[in-house]
Formats: sequence, structure tokens, C-alpha cells
Amino acid sequence: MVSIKYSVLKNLDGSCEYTTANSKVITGVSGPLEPKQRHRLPLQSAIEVFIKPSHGVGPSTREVLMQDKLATALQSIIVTEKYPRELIQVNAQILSNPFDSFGSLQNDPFNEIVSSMIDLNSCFNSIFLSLIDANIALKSCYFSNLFTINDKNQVINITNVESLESLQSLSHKSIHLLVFEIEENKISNILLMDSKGTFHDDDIIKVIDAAQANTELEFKNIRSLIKEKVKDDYIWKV
Amino acid sequence: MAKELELNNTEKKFILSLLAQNQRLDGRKSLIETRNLDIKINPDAYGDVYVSLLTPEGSVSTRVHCKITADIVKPKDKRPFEGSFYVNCEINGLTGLQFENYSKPNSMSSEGYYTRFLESMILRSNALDLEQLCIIAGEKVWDIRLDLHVLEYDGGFLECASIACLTSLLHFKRPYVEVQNEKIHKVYTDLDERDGVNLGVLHIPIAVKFNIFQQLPTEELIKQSNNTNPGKELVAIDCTIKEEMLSNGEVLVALNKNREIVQLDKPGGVPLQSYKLLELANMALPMVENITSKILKAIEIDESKRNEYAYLLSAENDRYDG
Amino acid sequence: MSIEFEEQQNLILPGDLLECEKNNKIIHILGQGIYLTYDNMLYHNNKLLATNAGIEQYKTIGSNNVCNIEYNSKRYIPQQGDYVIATVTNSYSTHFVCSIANFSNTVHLPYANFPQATKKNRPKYENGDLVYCRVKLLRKNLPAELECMDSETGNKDGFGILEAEAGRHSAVLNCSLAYCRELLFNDKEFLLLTKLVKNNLGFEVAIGVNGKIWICTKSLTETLCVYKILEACEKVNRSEHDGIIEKFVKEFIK
Repeated sequence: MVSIKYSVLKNLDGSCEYTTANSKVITGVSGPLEPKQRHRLPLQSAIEVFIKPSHGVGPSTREVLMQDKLATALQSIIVTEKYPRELIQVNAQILSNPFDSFGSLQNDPFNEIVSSMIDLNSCFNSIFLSLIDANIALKSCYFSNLFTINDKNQVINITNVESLESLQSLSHKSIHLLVFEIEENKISNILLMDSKGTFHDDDIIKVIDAAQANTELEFKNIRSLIKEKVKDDYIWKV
Repeated sequence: MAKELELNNTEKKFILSLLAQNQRLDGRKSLIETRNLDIKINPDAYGDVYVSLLTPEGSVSTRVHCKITADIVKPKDKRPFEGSFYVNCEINGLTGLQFENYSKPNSMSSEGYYTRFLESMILRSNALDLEQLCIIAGEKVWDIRLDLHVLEYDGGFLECASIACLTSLLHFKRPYVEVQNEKIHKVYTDLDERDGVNLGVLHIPIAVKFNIFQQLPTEELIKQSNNTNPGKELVAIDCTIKEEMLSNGEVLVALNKNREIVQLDKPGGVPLQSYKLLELANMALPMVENITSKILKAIEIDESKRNEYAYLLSAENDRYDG
Repeated sequence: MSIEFEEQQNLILPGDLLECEKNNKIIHILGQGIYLTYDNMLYHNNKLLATNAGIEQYKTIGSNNVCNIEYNSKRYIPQQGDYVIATVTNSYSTHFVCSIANFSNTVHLPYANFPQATKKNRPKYENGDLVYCRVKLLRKNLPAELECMDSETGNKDGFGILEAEAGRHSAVLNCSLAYCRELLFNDKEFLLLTKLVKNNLGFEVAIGVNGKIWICTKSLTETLCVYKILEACEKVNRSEHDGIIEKFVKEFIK
């Protein structure tokens, strides 16, 4: 299952290690920092997202696409007008991806898409906790889900699928990443939706329903985790 | 150019006067005491290693993740019988804010320099047998790629990275390849189906870095150079980042436990008496022996965990034991 | 000011409505970590949302209701009137450039903001020196301004360079902001520093709310001892503080 460790990197303002059944990322957030001249925006903060792949020289096009998706989503979550002419730096290092081992990408062209979606999903959730840890002002909370629909029209939550073999045997028809904005413990908006593959409109409705239920369930854990963190921050109090 | 980590005068003075009294800021009681080493091997993969240096209080100060991936490629024309090996290490903003994102490692930056040091330490000393990586001469060889992710950086990078590299190389198993009629017949990517092949690691070189702190300002040292005055400088092992920033020179030594110096480098800094180099190498030897046994122990423990039920399947029995 | 963790409503996450908003309580002053939405141009019926994860606090100062969210962080953002320990990084013809947090925007310390400043009488600080000062002014498009005196009276008031006298040893410790605030403002309840003195550790101390604690004692081991105690106490429960002090005093002094 998902295991989350916060404040793992002492050099950065906020950090989080996010481990799901099949992937592991570590993210760090720092800010507000002094940006370089070319990054300086007059009325809002610049957001720099940097993702390093688990192997190879990065970020390659695969990671740059993820960076862009993250940056646009974060733009509407972070209260950017609070930090004008400053920089919020978001770094992510993918530590393990189920498709790392030799030859695992070759069997199915869908594998490559699944592999990057898994990373993106983990990054989204991990970065949220890093932002909380760094105490960057946010407009709301968010939670990301990753679901796949297989050829038997079943909706499966990928973060719970453990081994590479079972991931590969899923025969994905389509894969959906859904990031929900959460206000007042309730889902208020869809922040980002990214779907790949062939699907019908009722498939989307089905996935949204499943993701909503999952978000409500998972966010309870995250909330209690943040409670734990705030408690830890004030451990020297009574 | 990213901003440098700032060190104020109070900190500088405090750290240097502690060093002069054989004390360290992180609680170590001697200049030649190393931090505690912790090696974690990911039980679900091969060659996936986390190495961290712990302060005496037990908090992580430097942490490195090392991962090996293998690929089948065409060899270089000049060396048709040899596989290839590459160390990839980019230190970026995750490690510390003084490091810049999107900067290519070059020999000018310290991390680029250290990475090349590591790579040549492993390759040129023949620690990794490249000929064993050949599948079909001139056609197919294994390309071993080692990715070093520096997660936390508080000095001691070279030691930490060399330990991680060697542990990972010793632990990694590449898939078995079946060759028929000069063609690859099958690659056993599923290691449960057929056990993988270990890499040929011939010896275990470990790098150690010594930082030199000079007690007197440089001008006075040059004046004194005629009347040799040894023992004026302090030598510390396994420095933290703040100590590194204050040091006046460094010596890098890579050794293996067979008492062989694999690589030695003194990139500038304060002049050092030549006999001191030998002294330092001798000083590093017990450390290297200690580290080597720790690496082998960690791998052994991992191995025994993986083979927990192996005895059930084993064809050996105690009939012959007499 | 004790924090109750038992009730769920005390913990607040970004995007949550404030308790006062739910109860229609009137708030006059908004503290840190609160965001007023601008759906309505006249700021009428706009919602008050939290922007940081922390604990809601309500206070009444005079006739004003104050609300803020208490949270701990590592990076300091300048606020007017805060006492900080700044590091001089550069000097120009009219001002020093100082840093109050590593890699953050730099702030200025003009020569005019020193007591008895004249054109010729300029403080001689070197790069890397620590200065105890106060945030005088926050400006929208310019770096924040520090001062090294009480600008109303023109007195020195303990501001200035932090330097150990000859024969004494000083050190500076980086720690979290809430811990510094607690040490500085809540010394009646948070008795850590008093406890240190009770253990025969005599030391000078300066606390900047930017997460820096400067200490100075008469010997190097004592400085290291105080440094280690303050560092260790940040990570443990208050009940364990006595044990930590005892352990380090035994280790270093005796």
C-alpha cells in the first residue's frame, strides 16, 4: 500500500517520499527563493518543476511533458500572487518505476504510457505533501488518482497493482489520470484530467465516480498524516 | 551559476576551532572518525542500493541511491570483445539549492570531477570485468549503466558514492542470454525463470577523501618552507559540507583491501609533504577494510533473505554428511 | 496558547473555511496563512480560506479580533518589526546587502539606519558578519529594509554586530522558525533557556525569528554543549528536555 514519509530531506524546505505498491518517488519543494533574472515575474511567483528519471540522463521529453503538466496544475493551486518576483522550486527524483527492468517496455506500446502516468501520479501526490511541508501558501488541497479500464471494462486503481507482471497483464484499453481539487474535505473541481487510449463517454463517468470515491477515502489518510506532521513540528510544546 | 551556500564568520570560526581541538560539529570526537555507514538493498530488485552516512545521533546526513540498468548494444569498433560501463551522476536542486538544475556535469564542477574519479576508479583498475559482458563478439555486448542519485548531500559524497557503486555492482544480476548459431536465441528477462548472472567484479576499490586544514595563513607557510615544519596541518576524514568549504586542500585516495592504491589525486590546494601521502594511504587502509567487510556482509544478508526457502528446493541432503 | 490536538477542527488545511467564517464571527485583523478570495470586487461576502496547514488561533487584542494560522516552517519570509539575525554578504556605498535565509531574496541594511549615522561615520562590518537587527520596512517592489537601532529613540538597543569578545567562543545554530519564536517570546512557559542556566551554563544568547540562534560562552566545549542541547531539544518532547541537558552536560563539561 501507499507509504508516505515527509520531511525526509533536511536541505530543502519541504520534502516527501511517496511509495506506492509499484513505484517510488522523492520530491522536494523550496521557496520562496531568489530567482534568476530571466525567471522573475513582476506580479507572481515563478514555478520551476524539475523531474529526474529513475535512470538515464534527464529530463528527457518524457519528463519535460510531465513537468509542464505539473507546472500548469500547480500554477492554479499555489497562491502565486503572494510571492511576487520570487521562485518556487519543485524537484522530483523518480527512484523506482515498475518498468525499469530490462526489456519490460518492449512487449506493449501501452507500457510506455503507463510507465509515465504512474510517475506523474506519484509526483502529484508527493509534491502536494512537499508543498504542505514547505508551507507554501495553497488555495486548496488536491489529490491525484490513476485508473485504468481493461478489455473487460473493469475499472482498476493502478496504485494498488503490485507486480510488473500483473501490470503488464492488465491489457489496458485506456488509462486516466484525475487530479481533484479538495476544499473543505469535499471534492470541488477537477484540476487535471489526462486520458490515453480508446474510451467512451460513459467510461469517463465511471472513472470519475471511482476516482471520487477513492479520493475521499485516501484523503482521510493524508489529512491524518498532515495532523501528525503538525504535531511533530510542535513536538517541543506541551 | 547558482548561489553558493552561505557560511558566516561565526560558523567558520566555530568549526575551525573545534577542528583544532579534535572535535567535530556533528558530535564526532576525532578528525579521523567516519560517520556510521548504513547500506540498504532493495529486496525487490537487483543492484538497487541506498547508502547513507549517519551522524552519531542517528540522523541521515548524506544519502545516495544507486541503480543499475543493463541493455544490449553493439560494441565499439575498436573493442569488439568488451561491454561498456557508464556512471551517470547529476546533482540537481533536490540535493541542495546550491546545485543548479539543467546544468550538464563537466569536469569543472566538483560533482563532475568526482563522477569521473569514480568511473575511472572502477574501469581503469579493471574492477569490473568488461570482457565478461560480451555476448557475441563485435555484434552484441551488455551496456551497464549506473545511475547515482544523490538525495542528501552533507559531505562524504565520494565515500558514499563509491560504496554505493561497488555494492550495486556486486549485487546486480543481468539476465542470462542464450546464444545459438551466433544469434541471440533468448534473453531470460524473468529472473525467476532462470537465475541472472553476476557481474565480474574483480576487486573492490573504495575511495576516501582527506581534507586538509592549514593552521597558518598561506604566506607564512611559504616563508617557512625552508625549515620544514611538519604536522602543522590538520587532516580530517569524511568532512561535512561546511567543513569541506573551509578546507584548504584535499587528497583523494582509492584503495582496495589488498593494500593496492587504485587511484590517487591531489587537486591543488595547500602544498603537502610528500611522505604525508603514504601516511594518508596507510590511514585509509583500515577504513577500506572495514567498509569492504560491511559491503560483503550487507550482500550476504540480502542473499540469505532471498534464499530463505532455497533449502527446501535444494537437491542436497545430509545423507553424505556422514 | 496551548494547542489542543484532540478536536479535529483545530487542524486546518489549505482550502478549508475558517471556523470564524462558519460562525459568522467578525475578524478585524487577518494574520498569516489566511487568504481572502476576490470573487466579489467590493470584498463583500468573500470567503476566508486557509492557505497553510496548521492550527487556527483566535485572539482579541484591544477591541480587535485577530485570527491567524500557526504553522512551523524552515524558510523565513520578512515581516515588519521582526527581530532577525542577518548575514552581511556585500557592501555598497550606501548600504549593506544582507541575507536572512540561505537562497532567499537579499535585504538591505542602509548605513543611515545605524545609531549616530553620519556620512563619514559608517559601520565597518565585513562580509560574513552576523548582525542583529530589525525589519524596518517591507516594500512591494524593492528589497526589505533592516535597521540597527530603535528608529523612534535612536538608541542602539542591543542591535548591532554579533561578535564574541576575545577569549570567548560563539556559534550560530539554524533551527525551525516556530522553535525560535517560542524561545524568544514564550520564555515564561518554555523554560529551556532558564533550565540551561540552572545547570551552570552561563551564556549570551541572541535569537532571530529567522531561525537563527547565536550563542556565546567562555569556553569552546561549553559553546558546543549549549549548541548540542538546543539542537537536540528541537526534535523531542518537552518532558525529555531535562534528560538531554543532563546527558550533554555530563558529556562535555564533566
